[in-house]
Amino acid sequence: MKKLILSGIVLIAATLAVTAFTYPTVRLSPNNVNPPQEKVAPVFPENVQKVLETSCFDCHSDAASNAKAKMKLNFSRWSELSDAKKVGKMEAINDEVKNGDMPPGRYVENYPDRAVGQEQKDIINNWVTEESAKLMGQ
Amino acid sequence: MKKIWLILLGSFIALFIIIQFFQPEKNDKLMYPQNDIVFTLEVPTPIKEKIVDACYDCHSDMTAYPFYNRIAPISWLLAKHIRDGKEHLNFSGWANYERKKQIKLLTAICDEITAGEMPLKGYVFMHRKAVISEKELEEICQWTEQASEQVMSSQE
Repeated sequence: MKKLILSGIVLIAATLAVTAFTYPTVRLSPNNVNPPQEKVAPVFPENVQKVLETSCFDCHSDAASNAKAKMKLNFSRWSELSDAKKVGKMEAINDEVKNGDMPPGRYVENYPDRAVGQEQKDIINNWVTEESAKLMGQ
Repeated sequence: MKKIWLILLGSFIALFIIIQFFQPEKNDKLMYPQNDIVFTLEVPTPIKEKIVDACYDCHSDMTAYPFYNRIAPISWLLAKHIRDGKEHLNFSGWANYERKKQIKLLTAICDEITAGEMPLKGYVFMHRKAVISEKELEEICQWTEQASEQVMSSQE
């Protein structure tokens, strides 16, 4: 009987351990507090630039201190990207913004005035649709 | 008091046994489906081998299940990972993606591995073959760029 109990405990413990290891980890890097806004060369249409400046540059530009965000997407270096990379990034930007995954919830909570509303989403969507069709030669 | 514990434990074990009868559907095709990326884009053999080792368990129709997948609720957990993984990227359904999406995914593959987000840490812990070295990462990123160019220049 004791053995049965023991093996039961071991089984459950093993299950828990495996679950713990395979559980997807969500890591959200902390937001910068009042990062300096740096002017980025005007490679984007004015209305797009404004949305990006307001809602994205805090983490996704040279001026940001969020290394991971910058590594994935740095608008200050946009013009250095190949056309293929630009298309890839733009599609990702559009998806993230459309789904409300970016800007992150915690950022918007702290800076409600930098949230992305429907109007901004449309600006991004139009830009991405047009620009990536152009780059893909369609 | 001891009795309560015994009953509790007994019911746990009973529950554990019962859930074994509820196993998720398997995702284990043996051959690359026709729409797989290997038939759609140029994938050099070392890259193909690496992405099969490191990605295909959750990002294709060809999961190589570990032995512990026989045990619920582990099997449920793996099934969920695979479902989620395929929803984001399914190499076996590559030909069904729009060209724009293909480029987006290729870009993301390099980015996510570089950022250490993929493969999942827990997965790598259980599957040492999924470890991606610096050199392999570099090769993968070179390939994703080339493949993106290939998609860019291809016509529908």
